[in-house]
Amino acid sequence: MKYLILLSLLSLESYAATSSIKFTAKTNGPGIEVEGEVQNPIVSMDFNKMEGTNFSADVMNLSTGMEKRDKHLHEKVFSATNNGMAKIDFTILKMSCPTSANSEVECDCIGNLKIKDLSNEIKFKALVNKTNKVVSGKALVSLNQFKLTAPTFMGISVLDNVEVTFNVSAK
Amino acid sequence: MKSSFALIVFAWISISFNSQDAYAYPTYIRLGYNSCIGCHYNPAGGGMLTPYGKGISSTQSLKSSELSDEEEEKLSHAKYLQAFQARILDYKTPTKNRIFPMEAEYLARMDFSKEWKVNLSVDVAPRPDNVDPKDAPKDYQRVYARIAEVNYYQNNNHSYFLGISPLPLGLGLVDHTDFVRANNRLQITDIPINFRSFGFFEKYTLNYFLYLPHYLELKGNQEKGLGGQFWYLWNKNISFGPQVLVGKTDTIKRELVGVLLKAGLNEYSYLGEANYTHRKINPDHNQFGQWTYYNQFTYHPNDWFNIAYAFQGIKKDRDFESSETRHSLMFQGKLFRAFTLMYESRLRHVNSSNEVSHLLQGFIQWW
Repeated sequence: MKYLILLSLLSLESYAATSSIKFTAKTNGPGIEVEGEVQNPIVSMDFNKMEGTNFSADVMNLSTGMEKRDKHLHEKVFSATNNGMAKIDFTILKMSCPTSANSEVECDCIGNLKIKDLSNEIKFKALVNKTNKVVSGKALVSLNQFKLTAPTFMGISVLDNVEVTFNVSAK
Repeated sequence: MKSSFALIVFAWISISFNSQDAYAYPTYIRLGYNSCIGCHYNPAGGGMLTPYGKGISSTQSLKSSELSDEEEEKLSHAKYLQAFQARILDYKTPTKNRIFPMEAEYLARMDFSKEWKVNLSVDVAPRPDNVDPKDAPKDYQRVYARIAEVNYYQNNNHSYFLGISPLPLGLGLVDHTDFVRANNRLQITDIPINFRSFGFFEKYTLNYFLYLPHYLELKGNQEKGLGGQFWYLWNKNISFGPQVLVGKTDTIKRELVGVLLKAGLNEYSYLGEANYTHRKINPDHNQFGQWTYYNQFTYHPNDWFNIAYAFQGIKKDRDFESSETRHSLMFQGKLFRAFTLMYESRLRHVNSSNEVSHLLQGFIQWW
């Protein structure tokens, strides 16, 4: 039994170094988009069995490139001032890919996204490149759905849907 | 007297040190700000900050501070906003050292309704150098309205302006590009009476303008014309596009076409502009072409400090054959909410001679 657990753990691959997870939040102000990234995400992925792929990050690792804006994001949106106070966790529950000889296929995905203590299923499409072992795509996350207060600053407010783009490489 | 006054004021405004904002951030594209209107009332950038711009500005300094709840409340609901900005410049060359207040501006924004607004900028031009005392303007004669315009704000996508203001041409934001702007227009003032239209869309921004001469302009420099600028937002980090202008004075017709590029990623940004202007002089049908270009690479190690290298130049052909290039190394830091310090070392190369100059600027803006 111990051997099986060890084997299954070894079969999982962590690709923090080759993962890129970014987000873009549109606002009600013209010409203003808030862009950011998840720094040092922890991604566990078995490329041969994508269901169960997991990504997690502490909200303190969300960065928009501006110190004060990050502080607002952590404190006002996620009520977090230190590591460990709020986490984002995502797991792929189902992934349907067409049978194709092409190296790149578009798959329909259903995943479970947990932000702080609230979980919701989200649907999105992912592009899987079998040759390069890369999974990429975009997903929309509704702030309302996760009971997150849309950040507002001096009359400019972030719109409800935040676009998350990801690119995870198994190489 | 009127003509010498106009000559002196416009010589300063148009050629020497016309500036909109010493600490503007066209490089904010690297942080998701792909146009100026989020932080400035003027969609072409510079000048009066919106409440949001003031909020951002307050947090971008070495000793950063956030707006207090009272300030935020006051700014968010104010119908009349005002600011003051001024610059003191120390200009040093091997043969000259001049410390002087370069420009002082009173800025105001009045909201009469959700749609109708007025923008105002009353400026004091610097005291001119090397001018015969009998021709020197009195202090009050150096006061002029750089912006006096009505703004019809249709919605988040469309905004229209009518009045006196700088043309929204070129990168147009930082004073370093004034060399290019000034050479594009030569003697023509940058603040005509104009109608400007701006459109902001998901993938592009568009502006066009029609203009007539400022009433203080010397007759020979009175130009009327039209032009436009298009920015295509290729992706979140890169935008580019063309600009055109056709203008005509009594004696000179000019046609300008140019390309613009803004790019930024994380701590790095690039601004670029290249223009070709064709001029035709009426009495003798003489004509010549002129290239101007501007390139700026900036490194932003943090929110309040940046280092930039700019390379810009001008080249005229035919009878006016001449060329000038400038290399600039700039260090700029916002020390407090209201105070910015900038040092610039310039190497100017004119035809075959070189000149090194140093500029130290202190910029104050408060509201």
